[in-house]
Amino acid sequence: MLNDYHNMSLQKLKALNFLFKQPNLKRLVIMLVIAFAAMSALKPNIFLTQDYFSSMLGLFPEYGIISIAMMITMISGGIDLAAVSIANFTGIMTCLFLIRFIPDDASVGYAAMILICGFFLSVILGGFCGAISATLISKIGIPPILATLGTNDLILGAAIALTKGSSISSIPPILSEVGNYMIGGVIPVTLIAFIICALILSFILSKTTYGFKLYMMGSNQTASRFSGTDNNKIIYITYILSGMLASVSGLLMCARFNTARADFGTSYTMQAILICVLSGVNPNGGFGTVAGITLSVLILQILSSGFNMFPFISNFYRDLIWGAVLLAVLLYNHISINRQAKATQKKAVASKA
Amino acid sequence: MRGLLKRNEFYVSLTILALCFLIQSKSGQFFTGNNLIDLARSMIIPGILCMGVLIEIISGGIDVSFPAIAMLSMFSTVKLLLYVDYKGPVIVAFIIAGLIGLVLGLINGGLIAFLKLPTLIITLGTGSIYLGFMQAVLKSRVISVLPEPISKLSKSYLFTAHNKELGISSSLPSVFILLIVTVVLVYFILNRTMLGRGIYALGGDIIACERAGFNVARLQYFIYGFMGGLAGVAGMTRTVLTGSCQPTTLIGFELTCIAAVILGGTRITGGHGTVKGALLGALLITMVSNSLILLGVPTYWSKFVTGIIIIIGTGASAYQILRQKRKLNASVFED
Repeated sequence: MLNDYHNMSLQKLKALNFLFKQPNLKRLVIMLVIAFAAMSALKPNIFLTQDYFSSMLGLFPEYGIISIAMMITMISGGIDLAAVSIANFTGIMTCLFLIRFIPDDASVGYAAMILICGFFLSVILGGFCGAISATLISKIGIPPILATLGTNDLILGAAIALTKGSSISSIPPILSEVGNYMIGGVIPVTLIAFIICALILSFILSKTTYGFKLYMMGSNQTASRFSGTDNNKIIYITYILSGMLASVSGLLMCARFNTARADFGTSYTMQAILICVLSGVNPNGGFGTVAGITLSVLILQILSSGFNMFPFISNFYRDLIWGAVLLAVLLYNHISINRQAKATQKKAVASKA
Repeated sequence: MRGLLKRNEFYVSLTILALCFLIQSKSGQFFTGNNLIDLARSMIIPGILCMGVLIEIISGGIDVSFPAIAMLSMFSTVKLLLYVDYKGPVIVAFIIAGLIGLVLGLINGGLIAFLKLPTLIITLGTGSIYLGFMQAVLKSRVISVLPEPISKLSKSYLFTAHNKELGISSSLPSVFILLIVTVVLVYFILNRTMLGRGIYALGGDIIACERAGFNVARLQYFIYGFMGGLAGVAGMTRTVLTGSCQPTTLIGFELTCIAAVILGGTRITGGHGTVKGALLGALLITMVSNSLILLGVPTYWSKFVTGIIIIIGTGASAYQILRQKRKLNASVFED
């Protein structure tokens, strides 16, 4: 009995140790705390209110989910520049579907059923769009940057052609009602959507064979092929998953604006890459965790909501600040990796002597 | 002959020819003087920028910050010249814009040489900073009254063609000369100098390039500085062409240029690529976006069509490489 208890506390200790053995996560937690403390110290009467918190928590899932999509493609050693277009395209298609099948006098139950159908339709469509990128990458051999650039133009083009460049409005109210609902008046539905996506993805990445093989392929494609992994299959699953996640984010955007457009969230691509790099995803593949993404999304949202409190900082400064943060993180990582390498070298020399 | 069939330039030329005749048979307006001049006019900006992108992609890098560099240097130059009420020769405007671009490009080059990370991510960061700097710090907006030398240049033409049938005429702007100068310069650098050899070597294998005695950092400074300078000049040219300074005019141009260069047979992995191919690629992309109206296709389909062309164009060359690799692997396994 005592032994059992001992074992359990040991495991807990190990879990804590795990968190702090990953220097990246530790650093992110510290950054989060600093950002939070700074903002609450600067404007406590705005920042520390329930409304501000609710709006903050409701906003980040849109690009948070896109960032997770970007992360899995970056773990595989690729990148998904088409994610935002997929989000908009599936959003438009779903809205058209809802408009077509929900009459004005529909009962709530019927409308909810159609909405669920629309959700699945949009996820399947997103997966299909991802499969196009995957085919181009694995079967044709186009490098991921270019392939997703091409599919981005293709899907964005289709979205523009569908909407003739304008927006789709008069969407049945059920979508925005569900999407903007606050559970208990505090927790936005979008946050729940993000948490579900994050949990599913972290389960897939850490507990399934696919997840293991994804990290393996990202670290070394040749080694993974010679160990008997079907790389093409991994690429397909990765980009289909990415497309599906993007479609969820697309629905959230349509719900928030209560319209569908081809050019929502065009800055999210850049933001998602920034979040990935900030969270320690290696652009060359092989590294990245959902926990890291969640932490860096929160940091970014706190910063950007924080800047909103100062009216003299125009929105355009955000581009500048994101770019500067990205470069600063890259510089910091570079210097710390160099220092580590030097330290291990010194150790090796010392042990030899 | 077999060599010809394997070259991307050949297929791009075929596509261009096919497109020419398709447009001609549909509208009867393709081989008219004014349409060809319009085409040449729209080639100027993508042509100049593609030359810089070509050098970068040959060296194994990629840059998405050059439209931001072009817009920032264009806007700040025009603003500066308006501020001092400049009246001298117009070449100074180009030199200032080029120098601003050069400095911004050198910042890119420095970061890339120091951090040794994927150039896409670094230039995404710097591009975002440059754009934010222009829009937030300089508070950019459209300037419609240009300094006198620039507005004078934008009304100077090499020659004019009249279309009697439609009663419209098009003129070739003088800045077309800049495109020719850039193409000749890049051709000379890539094919006739040690610097060009170094750029190809860098794209082929960075370690081998270093062992062969090239200074990789210095090469990278040159490549991204050159791109920055070209972008500055191209931004100024854009102002001359449109007759007003629109700060957001080039957003999204990076993808068009990269697509054009890749279409022309340049390998994204580096080490391969020709000036001829890049020009043909730029011509094809320009033709598609320019001539869709002549074909009767609504303009909102143009993005879709460029997407298809990028996929087909890059797919053709990528598939050949993949097949060669598979053949190689198969022969290894048979032995």
